[in-house]
Amino acid sequence: MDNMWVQLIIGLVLFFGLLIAIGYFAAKRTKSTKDFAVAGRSLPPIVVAICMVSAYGSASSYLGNGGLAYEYGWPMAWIWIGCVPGIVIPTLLFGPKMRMISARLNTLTIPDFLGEMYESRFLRLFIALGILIFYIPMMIAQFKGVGVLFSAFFDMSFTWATIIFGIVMIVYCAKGGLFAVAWTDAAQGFFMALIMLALVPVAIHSVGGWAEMNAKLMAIQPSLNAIFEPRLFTPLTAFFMVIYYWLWQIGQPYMSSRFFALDDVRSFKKVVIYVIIFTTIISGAMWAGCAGRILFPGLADADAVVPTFIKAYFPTYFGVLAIIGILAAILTTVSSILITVGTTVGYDLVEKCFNKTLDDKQTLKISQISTFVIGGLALILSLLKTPAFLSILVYAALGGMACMVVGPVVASFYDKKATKQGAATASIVSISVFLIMLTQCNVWIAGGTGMILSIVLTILVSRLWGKPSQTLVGIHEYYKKFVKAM
Amino acid sequence: MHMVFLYYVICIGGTLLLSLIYMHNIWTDDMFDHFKKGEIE
Repeated sequence: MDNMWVQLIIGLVLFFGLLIAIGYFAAKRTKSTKDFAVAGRSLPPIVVAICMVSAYGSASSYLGNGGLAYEYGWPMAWIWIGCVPGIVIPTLLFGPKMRMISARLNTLTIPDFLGEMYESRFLRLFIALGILIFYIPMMIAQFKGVGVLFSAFFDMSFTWATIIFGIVMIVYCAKGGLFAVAWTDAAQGFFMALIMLALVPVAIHSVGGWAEMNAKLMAIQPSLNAIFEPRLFTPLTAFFMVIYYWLWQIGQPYMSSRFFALDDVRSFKKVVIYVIIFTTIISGAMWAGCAGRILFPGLADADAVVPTFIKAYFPTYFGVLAIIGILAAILTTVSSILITVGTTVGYDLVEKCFNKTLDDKQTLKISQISTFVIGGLALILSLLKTPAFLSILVYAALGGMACMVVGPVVASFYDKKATKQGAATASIVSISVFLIMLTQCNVWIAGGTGMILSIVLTILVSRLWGKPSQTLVGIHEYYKKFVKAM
Repeated sequence: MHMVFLYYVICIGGTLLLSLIYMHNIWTDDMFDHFKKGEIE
């Protein structure tokens, strides 16, 4: 057994040990559905911020974005130009209000929030089903990512790595709820940030400095060092990319529900600053991608550029840390999604949609069991051959979910005339338009259009059909009094 | 203009600056007091 294997095994044992320890303490604190779904509304701002950024990033922060920088050069930074404000704007515009309203109405999830605001059981059911349809394939894809990671680094069979990784994660999610997910995400996100911080200076130094990097990229292909490039990052796609990421986060139930879990509404100021710092750090893989284009021309798989760069320019132990960092990136996303799906089944579908009269302990038990079952199902499916429709669902998952949710969420805060009919129509039409457009254009143009349509339709249809709910009117009256008092 | 300038200076710098202005002007202590009360009413 060579040195790298020994280091990797030690690293993985320590990593999983840390996760299990956090999961154990979290499980002891999880005594109610509120603890399970929103960590008892007790998370400090640094944990919420890292948790949001690390779930936002996933493995694409390392592999996908490095690969895009390798393939397209600097124009790929348009993705981050969308992402940085995309994570900050919803926090500024919706964070405190969402935290307050969710505490006032005692809502724990986004389907629950929308269901209560619009007093609509249909909307709650529709969004909950959307979460199941779109997020389960996402989990399968993330589990598969573990296998790809191990085979890229070690050229080995990855079945056992995926199984061990999957079981550890499912158990701590099911037992510890959001307490476990948030604190493990924070630990892993911090680790991911450290890896990224080391990558940027080494990438610049490896090609002879910043000016040299640009000159060499220009020599390979001028578009690598430009603002736009003709294949993917055209002005039109860049425009929709920015719109897409600006609206995307507010439409992701696994992201926006983090606002519900913050310890105090005043802590949002700190969340904003931490989020900006961590998102900036996490975007660092593009530097390794651009340097890799100069250093390793002709890579068969562009996504392998960051692992290749680390193998070539860092000592073995750093390579091991990087593997664990990428593993952590996958894990933070899949655990966030899993806890959202588990709560959706236990709380939104069984208790709220089907009106089962359950006490809190029973709801908690169902949420835990459904987290375990859905996680197990996704893990088993990830080990089988992927059917063709699955890859389409993964491609459509995040954009589709956002198209369903963003209009009803935005209108519930800023339109006192928003009705459940308007919200439901917008949700159904926008997801349909998005899926049809996806057959003709890329996900950013389809998603950006679908999300704008979702907002516009909620507002327009609400003017023509139905009356606003008493809850929504009450919330807006409360704000009106506050604005007048100011 | 280079993409790095556009991203790190204009995008991140601008986001940070506008966030600080927004938080200073909108997220006042009065607003948070009001929100705090709103949670339990």
